[in-house]
Amino acid sequence: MKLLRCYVKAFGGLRDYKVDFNEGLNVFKEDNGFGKSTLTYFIKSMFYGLNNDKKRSINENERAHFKPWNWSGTFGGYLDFEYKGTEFRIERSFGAKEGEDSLLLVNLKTGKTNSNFDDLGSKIFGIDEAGFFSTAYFSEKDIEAKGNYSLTAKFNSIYGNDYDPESVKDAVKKLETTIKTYSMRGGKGKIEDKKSELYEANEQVNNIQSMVKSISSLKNEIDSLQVETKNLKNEMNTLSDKIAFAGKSEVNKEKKRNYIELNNEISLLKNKKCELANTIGGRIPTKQELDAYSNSFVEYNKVKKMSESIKNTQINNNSSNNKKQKTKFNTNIFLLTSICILLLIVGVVLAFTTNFTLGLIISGIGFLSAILVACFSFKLGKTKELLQKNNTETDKPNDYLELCLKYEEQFDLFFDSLGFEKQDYFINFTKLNNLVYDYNNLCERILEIERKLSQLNYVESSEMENNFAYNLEELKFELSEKQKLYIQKTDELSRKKSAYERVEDSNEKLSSYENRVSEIKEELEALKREHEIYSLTYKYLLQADENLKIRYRKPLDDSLNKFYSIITGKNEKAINIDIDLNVTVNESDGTKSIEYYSKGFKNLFEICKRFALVEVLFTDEKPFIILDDPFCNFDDKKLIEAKEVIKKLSSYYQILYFVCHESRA
Amino acid sequence: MKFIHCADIHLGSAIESLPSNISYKRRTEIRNTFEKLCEFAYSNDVTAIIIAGDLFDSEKVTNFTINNFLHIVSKYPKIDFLYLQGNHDPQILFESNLTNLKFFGGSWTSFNYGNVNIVGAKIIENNSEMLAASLKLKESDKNIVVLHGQIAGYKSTEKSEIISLPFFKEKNIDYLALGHYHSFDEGKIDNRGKYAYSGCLDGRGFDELGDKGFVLIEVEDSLKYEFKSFSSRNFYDFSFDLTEYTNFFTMCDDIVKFLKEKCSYTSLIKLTLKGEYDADFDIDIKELKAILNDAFYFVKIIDNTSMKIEKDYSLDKSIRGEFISEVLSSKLSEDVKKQVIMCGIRALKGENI
Repeated sequence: MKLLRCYVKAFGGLRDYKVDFNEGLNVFKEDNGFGKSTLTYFIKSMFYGLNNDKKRSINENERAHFKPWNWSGTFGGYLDFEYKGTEFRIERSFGAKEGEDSLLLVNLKTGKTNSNFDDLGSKIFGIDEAGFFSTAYFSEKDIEAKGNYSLTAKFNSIYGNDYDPESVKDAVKKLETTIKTYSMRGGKGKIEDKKSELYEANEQVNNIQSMVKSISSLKNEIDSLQVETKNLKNEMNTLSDKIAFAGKSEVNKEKKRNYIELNNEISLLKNKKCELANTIGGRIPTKQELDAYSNSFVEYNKVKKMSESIKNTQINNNSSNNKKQKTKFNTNIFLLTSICILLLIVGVVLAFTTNFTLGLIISGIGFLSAILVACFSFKLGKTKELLQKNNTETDKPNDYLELCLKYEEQFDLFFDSLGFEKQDYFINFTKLNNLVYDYNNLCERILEIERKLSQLNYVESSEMENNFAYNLEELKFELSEKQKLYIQKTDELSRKKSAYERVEDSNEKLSSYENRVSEIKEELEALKREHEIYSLTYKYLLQADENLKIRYRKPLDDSLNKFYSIITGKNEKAINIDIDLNVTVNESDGTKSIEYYSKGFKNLFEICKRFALVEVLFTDEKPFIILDDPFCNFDDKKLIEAKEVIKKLSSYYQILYFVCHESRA
Repeated sequence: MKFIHCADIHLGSAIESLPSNISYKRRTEIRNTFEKLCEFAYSNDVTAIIIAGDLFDSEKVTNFTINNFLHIVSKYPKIDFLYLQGNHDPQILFESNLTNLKFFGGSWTSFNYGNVNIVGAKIIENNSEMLAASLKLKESDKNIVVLHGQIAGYKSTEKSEIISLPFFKEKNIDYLALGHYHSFDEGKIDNRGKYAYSGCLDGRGFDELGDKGFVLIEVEDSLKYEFKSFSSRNFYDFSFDLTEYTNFFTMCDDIVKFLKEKCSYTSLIKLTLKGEYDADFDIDIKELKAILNDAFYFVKIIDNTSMKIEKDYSLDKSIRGEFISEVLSSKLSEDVKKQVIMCGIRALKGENI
């Protein structure tokens, strides 16, 4: 298709502007600020309308951007063009909102109009607005040599700012990485982790549910354990009572034994006592009586002795031996006394001359000996006095005899009353004393036993008698066993109660855990869905990339070679495009990447690429090309070459070439 | 004399409609709300608390929940708790030696407080007609009747016993304290009496929207009652159309502002997003969820939006156009197509996917 003419009534800064277009190259040399971009957008808006009404930014919102200043009413104009041999006019006006816009398509030949033409540009060019603008519109940045010579990148960069040339590669790589996080080899990844989490959560719920199922049996076990421990407690108490009772019985038994023993002993003693009493006529003399007779016996013996000694003294007093004995006695006393005095003197002398100690000892012996002699002689003197005295009492021998007889008479009566045989008084008295002594001992013993009996406090008890059969050791053993069992059961009860509390606690949380299981299931499904989406996205992106490559490789190859030959004048096939749309150049010595070539060559190659793309993409109708001062940075030599290229290309496409400097016109 | 009429407390409820961590907290909050109700009753000299059914949530109520309830009751020995079993309560009554906890039975059970007579019975197998026939109340008394069930004509999502209101006319009822319906509602029985559903004390899900609480009944010369909002948190359900939006963060700000105008930060909110958006409009639902859950206690987002695929993408010669055309021409479901396209566009733009 080709543009014929346009009229801008009002659009941006343009007012009442007309232009007729040539078929090939149309050069617009205007100063900056003229409205070259405005005219470009006007032409675009005639085919595609105004865009981004919802954008708030004036730069993005075309309607706001190109609404003429201080203009009321609609703005726009018309554009005449030729399409498939027929001339048409688009009349378009734009209001404040899309709803106020109007479109009229007029067949300039027939006059037929159509006001309901949606998306006119897409229908004419077979490409959307963004595609059109990205291919048919060149600026100086489109001519810059790029590092990436892949045509795929070119496709990807068609839509300008939003897409980085490497976006497909990056997108695919990102998706690959993301997909791996969901599912990796070795059972790892988010999905597997979530499955594990679900498994654990289910296990937890199952465990709790099993525990909860057992709660009633646990309760029953606790109840029966409580009954069991209660019974055990009662049994233990009963056993303790029995043991206490049996203990008491044992004590009582012991008491009884003691009681019997003591009773037996006391009986024996009483019998002995009776026997003893009977041996002396049933009458035991009192102590006073006994003492009186004993004293009398002593007196009797004295009297008897006196009587005998007086007799002997009388005899002795008449004897001359008595006088010799007396003289001999006095001489002995004198000698002993002399020896003592001598010892005393020697001792003193020794003590004060040679040996004090020895002297002291000798004098001490002498002294003591003197004292002994004195005492001996005094005693003998006394005896003599007594003899002398007795000698004077030789008048009373018959008195003593009479006294003796009296005593004897008493004694005889006494012993007779006791049933003793007539024998030596001493023997009888001794016998009597022994009997009385024994008797008294018996009495004391009996008293003692009676005291013990009263202290014993034994009470006759038939019950205790009957229960004497308890075996205390057996009872204690049984109690010990019960206690062990009780401890065991109470421990078990305590454990069961703790377990019950844990189950109760778990039961309370069961619904939360079940909730969590449901949540995890949902999360797992969400992860699976996400994984599926990512996988599908990955698949379709790769597919799309492959489709583009397949669809455009050959056509691009042909177009690129065509435009390359146009630009360079070389006819042989110089350009190769591989499966990934990477471009290389055939040289005599092999193929080379574009990177090896000069900047100038690369710039020209960018132009080739763009025209090749235009040719490939615009399948229905050849578009017009808008060049918005693309060579502004070129040096003179390159500029000349570029202008030559444009001239050559203008034989293939209608080109609107905007410049602001004469040199580039 | 004052009485409280409450019902449908559902202690120990699992609350499956919320995430597990929120539902666990909510269960505790509901228990606490009941205890706060008792504290309110104590502070306001309430004579008795009437529990018109569904005190618990399930036949298999745990001992923990029962013991907790009994513990609360035991703390307020001067307040009577009059308990009527509902369809969710365990049918076998638990043991209790608390003298202030009293039970209504299968036939009319009456508790008297001066001239105030509180009578209740369990409706079993639609015996409301029979029950009504056997109900004898003195005209001179102030009569409060307690039942649990659904008044004929009310919508209910679950099976319940039906209460035929006409049978209870001219029975000298001053106030019919009902349980089962989870929102406060009231109506007239006859010229003398009114009925009221107290509603549940505290909501448990997004099907229990609006204010929840109890009814405070005051009896002096006449009987008056008033609904008291008492829930710890409210549930809300909103929808939001994002069709006009082209900037995600502007949309987030507007949503937050919209929600803050209608509910407090302690609320539980269900937000349904609807509308269409362009392929170039980045919507990050996770990010939105994070923003909203930071501003409110809990927000659940339902995404009912759809991407606008108006253009003929065969005219888009780029990889994007090729990709979208490839997906659209596939046999995938519409929903999956939408998601794949969104994901692919974001990936090509280098955005987070």
